[in-house]
Amino acid sequence: MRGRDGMSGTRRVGRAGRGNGAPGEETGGAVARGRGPGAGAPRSVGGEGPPRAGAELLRETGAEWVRQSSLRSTWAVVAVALAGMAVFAALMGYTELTRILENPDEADSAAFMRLTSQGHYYLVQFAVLVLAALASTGEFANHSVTSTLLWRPRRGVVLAARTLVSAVLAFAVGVLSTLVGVTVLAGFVAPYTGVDVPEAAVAALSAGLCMALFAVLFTGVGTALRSMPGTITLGFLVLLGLPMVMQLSQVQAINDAASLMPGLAGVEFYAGGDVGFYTAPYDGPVNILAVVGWAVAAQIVARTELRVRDV
Amino acid sequence: MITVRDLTKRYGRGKAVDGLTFTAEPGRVTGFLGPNGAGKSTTMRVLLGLVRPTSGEALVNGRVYERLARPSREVGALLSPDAAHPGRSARAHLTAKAVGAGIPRRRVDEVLGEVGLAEVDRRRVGGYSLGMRQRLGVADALLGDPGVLLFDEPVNGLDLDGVRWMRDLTRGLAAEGRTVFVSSHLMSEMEMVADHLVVVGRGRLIADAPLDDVIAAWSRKHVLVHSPDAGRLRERLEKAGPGVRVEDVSGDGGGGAGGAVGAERPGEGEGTGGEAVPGAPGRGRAAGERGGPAAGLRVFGLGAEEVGDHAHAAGARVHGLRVVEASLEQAYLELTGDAVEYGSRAAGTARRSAGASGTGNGAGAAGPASPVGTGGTAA
Repeated sequence: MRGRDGMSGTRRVGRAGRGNGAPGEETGGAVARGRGPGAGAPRSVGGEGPPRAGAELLRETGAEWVRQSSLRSTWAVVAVALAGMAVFAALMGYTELTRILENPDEADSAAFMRLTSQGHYYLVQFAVLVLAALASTGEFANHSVTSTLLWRPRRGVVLAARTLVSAVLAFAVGVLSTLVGVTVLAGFVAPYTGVDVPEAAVAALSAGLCMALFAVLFTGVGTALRSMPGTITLGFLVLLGLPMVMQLSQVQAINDAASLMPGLAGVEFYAGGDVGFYTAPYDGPVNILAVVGWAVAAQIVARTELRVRDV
Repeated sequence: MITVRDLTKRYGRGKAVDGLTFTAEPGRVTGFLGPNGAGKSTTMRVLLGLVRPTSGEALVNGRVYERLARPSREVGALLSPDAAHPGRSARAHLTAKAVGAGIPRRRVDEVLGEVGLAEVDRRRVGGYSLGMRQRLGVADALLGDPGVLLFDEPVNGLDLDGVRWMRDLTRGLAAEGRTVFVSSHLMSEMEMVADHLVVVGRGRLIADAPLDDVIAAWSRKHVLVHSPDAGRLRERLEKAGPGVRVEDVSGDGGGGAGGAVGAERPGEGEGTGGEAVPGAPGRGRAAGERGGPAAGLRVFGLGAEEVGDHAHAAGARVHGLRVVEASLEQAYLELTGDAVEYGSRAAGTARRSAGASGTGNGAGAAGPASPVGTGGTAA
């Protein structure tokens, strides 16, 4: 038979931290009045109005930080990036030391920037790609995105917060990995050439900025694609595969265009124009602007897609 | 308060939801009942702003979801056991939501305790059982202390203890004046918790009425009697009084009724069906009154003893006699069976198998509304 009487007073949803206008109290007849053709018009149901856009972004950023920082995979990727740079720097440091021992004139403080930039290009930027892909696609893969969007119907705020947190993490990864690289390299070549501290600081900040922009770019790509394999594949192509193929081309315009791809434009920027291999015919702000362009374009696509597509 | 008006959601050529209209009022549990694929989850997702409707509107507290001022304080939802990232702990999941909504963190402790996950709150959700994940989903829904709650198949994966807990919780939330909207394909569960039922099939509204009305309207308590002398018995019963009504079991109940007879008296259905309609063992036969094998009669308005006495007085042999209780399950099979009749051969087969599975016991009770015979012939 019907178990209505099975209900007891054992459970009671608390009303912690709530002031007047708590929803539990405001439901009922009052809200029923909202029905009708004009029901779509905003109206204050409770005592509190909607949060301001800035406050909403701030809260969502806090939530996103908890979401990303509570995943082991986030920290694993950060650790891999730093460890990867340390190993790369050790290898390059040993090579550089060998060169210097053969010919002491080869000792050059510019090696610090050149070699850490190569570390970013070959290793760290892919860690950032994975970091952004995890942040942007993970919730789509396991459907927990519904829980996130439920309380944040303005989906653009979710994307902005996610992008912001990913970018800050990526910036930290860029700066820290540069410092790790410089430190390890110094361990090998310090007796022969000193570290130019201002130059190292610029290198760290440049790498941080570019990694942050990559995070913006790939958080956008991941949000648009909603697929981790798709995002990582596209990331590898855009950062490495496509520019290499384009540079193989005998058509000069295509060859030159390769330097506007984010991977090459980025390394040209954070290496200060001397990464040790051919990148681009262009110098100056065009490189960082190219990366910004990619990031903005990806965000526009992601934002549009997230807003119009069902989850 | 939930208001759905003329809601349609189209996916390609098919309609997941087709012109659905209903309301769910505060202070009661509104059951959202329908078979798998009836459009229940889609309707819920439209209500929550996760899916855009093709036409019509779905309002929570009188507004489109996107326009709610503070959805975290107004609506809580359990949509699936996958609400939390498997790599995150229950505490981290809820903390993230609390931070995002500006809810004090101590509220996280409260809801964790309330759903019984306080001891395992730092374990990763990926290691949780299905029941534990459902509980976390409930904690998630309750976190903002909302006035409107939507639970999509909440008892899936719960053990008996969990089912009872969920039932009490659902009833308790409604008793506190909240709007509680619970979907299920389990009619037995709905019977235990719902005050009001919205029944859907193939995206369309089939019934929107209080639970008791649904049962009363669609299933009626009666006495099922089988007799080789059914004609004589029927004559006698029809003279028993103005409140007494007699129906042939297979006369208007279609395939479902035949299935019921088969379930009631193993062997008989197969025997008669085998002669009359080869390959359709579930079908009873209407022409049994003139002697031969026993035919079934449904007698409304009399008790089992009275029917037995009348049979005795009429000199009619009785091969079977029992009371058929009304149940939501019966009503549900009839209701959704009708909806399925609109559709494909596959749907007809599904209905037939439902009738033959044993749950169709007495499914023909609501015979008048049931199309005749199509379920059987679809076989």
